[in-house]
Amino acid sequence: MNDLPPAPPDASPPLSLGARFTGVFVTPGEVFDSLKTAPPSVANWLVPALLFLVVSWLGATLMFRNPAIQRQIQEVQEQAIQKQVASGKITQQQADQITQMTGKYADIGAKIGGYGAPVIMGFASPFFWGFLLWLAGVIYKRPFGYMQGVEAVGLSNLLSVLEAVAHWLLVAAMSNMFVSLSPALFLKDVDPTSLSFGILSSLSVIGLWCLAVRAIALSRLSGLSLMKSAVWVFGMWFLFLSLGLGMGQLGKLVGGG
Amino acid sequence: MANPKAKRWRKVIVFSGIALGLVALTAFALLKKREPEILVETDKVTRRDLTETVVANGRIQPVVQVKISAEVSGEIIELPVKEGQAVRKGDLLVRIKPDTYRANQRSAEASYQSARSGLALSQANARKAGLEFKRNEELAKTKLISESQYLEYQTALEIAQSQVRSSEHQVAVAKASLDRVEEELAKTTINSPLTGTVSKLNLEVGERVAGNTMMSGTEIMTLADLNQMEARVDIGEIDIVLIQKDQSASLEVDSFRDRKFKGTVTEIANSSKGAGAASGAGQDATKFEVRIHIDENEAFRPGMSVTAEISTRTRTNVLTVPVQSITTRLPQTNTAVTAKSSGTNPPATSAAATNAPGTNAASAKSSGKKPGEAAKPIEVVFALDGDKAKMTTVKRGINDESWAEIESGLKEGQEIISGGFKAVSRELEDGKKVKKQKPGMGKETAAKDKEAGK
Repeated sequence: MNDLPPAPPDASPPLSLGARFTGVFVTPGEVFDSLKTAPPSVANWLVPALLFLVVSWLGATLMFRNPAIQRQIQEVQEQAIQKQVASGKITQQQADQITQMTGKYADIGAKIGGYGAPVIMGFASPFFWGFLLWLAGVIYKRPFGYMQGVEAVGLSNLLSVLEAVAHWLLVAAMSNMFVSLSPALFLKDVDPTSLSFGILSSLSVIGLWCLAVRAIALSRLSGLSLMKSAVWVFGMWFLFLSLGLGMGQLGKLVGGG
Repeated sequence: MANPKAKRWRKVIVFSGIALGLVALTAFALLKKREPEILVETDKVTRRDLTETVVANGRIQPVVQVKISAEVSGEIIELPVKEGQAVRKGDLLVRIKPDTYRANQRSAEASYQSARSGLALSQANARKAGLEFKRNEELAKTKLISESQYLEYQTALEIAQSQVRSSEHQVAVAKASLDRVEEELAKTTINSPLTGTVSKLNLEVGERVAGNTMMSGTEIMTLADLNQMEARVDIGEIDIVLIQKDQSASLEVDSFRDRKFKGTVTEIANSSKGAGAASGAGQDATKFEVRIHIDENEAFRPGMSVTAEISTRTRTNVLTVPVQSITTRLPQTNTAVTAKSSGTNPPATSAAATNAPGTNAASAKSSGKKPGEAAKPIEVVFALDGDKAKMTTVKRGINDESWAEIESGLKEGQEIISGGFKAVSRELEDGKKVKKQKPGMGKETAAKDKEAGK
């Protein structure tokens, strides 16, 4: 394949933080080119992580105050329990007891997820995806600094912030916590545990845009061709998506759903 | 190096697109009509046999019950029966001390005999006077005695005859007195008028009773035929019109909880209980007594509590819905028709008048009724139409505790909304969004909603 030669160190001038934040939406290539020569900056991954956290917590707070969402949480739990009854694993009486006992905890569990998950996603994903990008560089013998990868992923996470804003606006509009800017939006009867829902909701427009920006980041940092970078990034995404969906379906089978 | 101008334009376009998208989503979130979904429980219109019943409470009493009371006063000297004892017709029940009455009887007998003696004497005197008159009559004819002497003998005869009549009357009076006293003497012994059981014994040997022939004296005991029992229940004035003779009933006696007894309506009171009482006591519900003959024999005792379910009407294979799914609403006003016929614009208040439970004046105006004439509520059932409630006017037939007959308005198999109570009776309107929930979850959901609203 036609790999791009590595860019000379002083090819792109260093950009300001604001320019980097706006540039990642419009000209990501330039941003990541400047990243190669710019001094390390924690702000590149920390600020997007914090922004993501704030937006997600705000959205979660508004969501959990919506009675329709609370009912939805309860229904999801009840459906899961009723599937156990339908498969004969527990009796209806046991199901009613479990529903009563866990009623409160389902709400707490949802809130922990709503407030806890953004922390992990916002702070852990730059380091995890940074590692994957760095690994690609090692494998393809185009190494670059790990933290450069982290900063690049951190900058791409600004798109995740945009996605979070759009997601919470949709949830507020439709009073449904499972909506997303994806083909799953057009599903009539949403079963959040179904495989089709899982696949369709993962094809979020902004999510795919974010992956494309990460592919550009890998290409610019390592000098790999855009195609190879895209294959790596989307391939990794697909792998982890499949693992996640597969484990979910396995869990359903084991649980009798 | 990319053209800075082109880069700037690209920036503008991209961020404008993002901003527009976010603005559109925000507008969508704020402006979308968030119609609250009402949680409901549903059921299906099914065919079944239906028996309308009227439930009433009362007590078990014997069909035949006699209160034994004294007709003469005195001390009870013999009481050979006990409460709960079976007696046969003619058996001795009570003996009252007869001494006074025996003395009266002897006195009356003596008076009677005396009167008879008096009668005999006066008859003898009359015969003597008659003989003397006859003898002197002959002498008077031959002018051997004076006119005045003849008249004296004639008068003497008349007096003697009068005395005979007087004596006869006295004999009759004395005989009547004797008969009365003998009757009183006889009443000191009371025998059983029927074969039955002493259901209640009020007095003991040695106690005094007061007797009266004109009205009921001291009640000594109550006899009842416990082989023929009936349930006497009170039924309200709304339901009494449904009750007819010979209707069957199912009886539940508190003392025999594991059994149900069959009965037949035998008597329906024409007047309510307490009818004619002072109006000041008229706060109680009007009740009519209905008697139900119990077809089966059991060890019933008078006064036992009973609940009767009288089967008033029966329908077979009719369309039914749960009773709680039927509610009332004010009828919808047909504003288009009103506008056409009157040639004017439809009144502004018409929309507000439809579907509102309990509103009267506005709907009366818009429906073209006379002012002050309120629209009458109609019976409706809310059918499930996708995720919306559809108000359907129904014609109701009979109902039992759980199911109501639907004569028209619904089809078999149609899904209708049967709960929660608040939703059906107040919240639901035609076209409102609803969400099905499992039966029994209504209470839990209502409690949670209340908690969230705090």
